[in-house]
Amino acid sequence: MNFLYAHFSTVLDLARSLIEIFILTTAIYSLWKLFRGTRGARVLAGFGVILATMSLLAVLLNLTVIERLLSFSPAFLITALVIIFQPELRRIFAEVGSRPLLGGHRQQTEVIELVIRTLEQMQQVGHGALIAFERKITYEPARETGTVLDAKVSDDLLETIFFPKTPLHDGGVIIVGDRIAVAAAIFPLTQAEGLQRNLGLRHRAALGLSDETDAVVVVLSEETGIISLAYGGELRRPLTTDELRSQLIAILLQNKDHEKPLVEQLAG
Amino acid sequence: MKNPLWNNWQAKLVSFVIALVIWGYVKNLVDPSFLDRLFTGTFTPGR
Repeated sequence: MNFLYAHFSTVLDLARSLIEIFILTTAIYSLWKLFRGTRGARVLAGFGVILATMSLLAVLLNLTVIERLLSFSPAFLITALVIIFQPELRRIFAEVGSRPLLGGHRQQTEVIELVIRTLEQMQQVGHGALIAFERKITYEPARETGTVLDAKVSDDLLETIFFPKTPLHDGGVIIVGDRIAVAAAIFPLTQAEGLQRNLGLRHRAALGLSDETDAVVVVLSEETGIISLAYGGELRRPLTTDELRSQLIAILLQNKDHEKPLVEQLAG
Repeated sequence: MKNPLWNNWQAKLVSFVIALVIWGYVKNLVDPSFLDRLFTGTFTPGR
């Protein structure tokens, strides 16, 4: 009986250990997926290397004072993490707190079609555009910096807004439902490293807004005519108008990327 | 944006190794005899 109990406990102990390791692995991998490519990740990597080298030296050379000082580093590290990753953390918590979009499918489809048609026309004449589809999380500074329109989306209006040398053509447009809420809005610029050098301010702004909110941002490059889509801090390009349509429908209507639990999104 | 050197499986493997190291370190703090028992082959319950 004792033997059976011991055996069972060992198995239980092992299972417990495995569960702990699995949870840790998932947490570390999820953090890596969330923070890769961001400016904070590089800062953290540099910090980690310095800390590891110092710890190794302290242990090898028996530097007790340094060792003692390094033992305080976890508390300091947690504070530093919150400060360094503040924009990313804000996005994550905002995403967790927001719920899937419901209803208004036909209206949204019409808006998507209108935007795509406008982009095609603008592509032909070599104009650029920056259009954000706002979802659950609003970006208030854009309303303060831009010009509030609150006008029904139309291809003529969009083309007029992005016509070069007009007062509203600089900055982005924010679409809420079937209305253009704001034009000439200034979006936050992304801090992500490793972006292609040929990506201009429009792309950085699109990525920046998608970093901070759950908005879907479409960019039409003035120089190349390439269509890009920024969502969740990731830039998808180059896209054909068909690809753009299917991605917009997937995100805005079917909510594919949003319905999945956060853990699943991270694993994907 | 994706770095091809950092495929999913590589990142998962590195995450697992880091998790193992952290787990071993903390486990040793919580239960100092754990590593001894593990390496001497007397892995019996008793936290």
